[in-house]
Amino acid sequence: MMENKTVIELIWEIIKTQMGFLHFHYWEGLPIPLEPIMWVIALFFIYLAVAKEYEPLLLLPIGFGIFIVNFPLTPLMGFDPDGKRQLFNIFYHYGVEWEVIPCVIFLGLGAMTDFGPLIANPKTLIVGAGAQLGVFITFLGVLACNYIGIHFSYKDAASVGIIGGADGPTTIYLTAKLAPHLLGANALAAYSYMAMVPLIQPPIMRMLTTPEERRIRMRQLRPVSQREKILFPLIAAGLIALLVPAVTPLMGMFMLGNFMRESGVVKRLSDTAQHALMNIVTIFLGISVGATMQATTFLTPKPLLIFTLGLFDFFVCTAGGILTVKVMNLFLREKMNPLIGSAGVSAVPMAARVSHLIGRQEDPDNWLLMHAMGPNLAGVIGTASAAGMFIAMFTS
Amino acid sequence: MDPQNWRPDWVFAITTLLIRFFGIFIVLAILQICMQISGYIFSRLTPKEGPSLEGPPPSGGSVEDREEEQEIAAAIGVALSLYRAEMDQPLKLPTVSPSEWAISGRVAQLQSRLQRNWR
Repeated sequence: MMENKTVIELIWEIIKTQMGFLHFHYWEGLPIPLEPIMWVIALFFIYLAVAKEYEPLLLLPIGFGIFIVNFPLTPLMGFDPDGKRQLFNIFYHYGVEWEVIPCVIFLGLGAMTDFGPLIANPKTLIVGAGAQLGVFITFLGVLACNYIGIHFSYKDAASVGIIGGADGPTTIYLTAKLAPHLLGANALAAYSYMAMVPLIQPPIMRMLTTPEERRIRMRQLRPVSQREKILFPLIAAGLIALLVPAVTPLMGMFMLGNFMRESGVVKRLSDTAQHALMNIVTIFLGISVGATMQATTFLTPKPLLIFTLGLFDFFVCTAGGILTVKVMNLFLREKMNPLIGSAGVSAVPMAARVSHLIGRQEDPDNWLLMHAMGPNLAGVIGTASAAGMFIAMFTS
Repeated sequence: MDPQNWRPDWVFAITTLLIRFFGIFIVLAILQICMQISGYIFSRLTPKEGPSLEGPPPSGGSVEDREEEQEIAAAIGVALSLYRAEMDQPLKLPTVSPSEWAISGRVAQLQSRLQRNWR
């Protein structure tokens, strides 16, 4: 009898201490387990990635990361009893906290990017600056949340504001630097809204432009020589390093990737940066970001506010780009189509495609895609500059 | 200070944001100016593509040669066009039934040529 009791106790002890289902966290004062709520959130993002193909390369590993870390007692994001980091914690610590992955992703993005449309029409750089309007307005909006009892510091506000730039690696880089506790929500908001650019932008584009403006045809871009393309990353990297040194890790890697591509002498390196390396770091980035979203830290009012403010941020950034083009048109002899302004948010190349499609709805023979690629690429530089401004603000 | 009671300094926030927002314009405007200057220099340095209309004909080719080349190019173009667009269709040439006026005109023309040749 005694032995039986001991065995039962032993089994119970095993169930109690080594199995997960008795270790759920509960909502304060309510019998609602938190982790299953996170499973639902995870499955929603997995659904978006798999069924709707919204940014699947990132939403799939992020969704799976959220799903798997929200099982109790999983040795993934914590520390072993002997103080060693667990698997996802290693990815997160060395990849994201050490700011390695966003910079490596920028290397790959640079190697994938053809700056030809931007070099052919450098005016569009200004559109990329105007489209950062939402970043700064959202910063103020986030600070205003302190009056409704939800605390956001200046650093938190900066990291939430950058979501509107629609640049995932920059958002992650800045958030990891300034407000790592918001990383999961910020990254998820940025990538989700980037995937939803075709739904978010068109109503604003139609609201802020007249049919005549949408029909404006732009002159064909001049051909850009290979020499110019080779020189561009050197000029851009040098200037940005001089003017906004805080963002040199990101922009330096971006321009290095582009220089490798355009120089044409290191095809193997360029190819690796574009494909193999990019794919590897994307896996680690997705898992790391998803793994930060544990129920106890994520299920608070803050992520909900971040998602709301992130959407507002996207609206204002889109409007900022369009209005910048309209203001520029007051001074330009050859008018620009204001639809390309919305591509100033840097969701490359989705935002440029949206500009092109909305333009063609008005005039089927109006080909805006290459014109919109200019502000689109300028948006990447603009968002990185905004991030650099914020980093400088808090580190100087 | 208790985070719940913390309030932002709005003057600092708005001022610094305005400065930084215009800072982005300045950074990108400087980059734009540099790109325009380099674009101007490169467009001056790079020779114009395509033969000049007013310049001399390409070396090693007389006017007749160029006309012949153009005819060959036109023939290839027509052949490709026919091959692509009407590959399955039988070639349809326009069939015109000449009127009596046209026939009498042709006869008169042929007779005059015949008389000229006989002389």
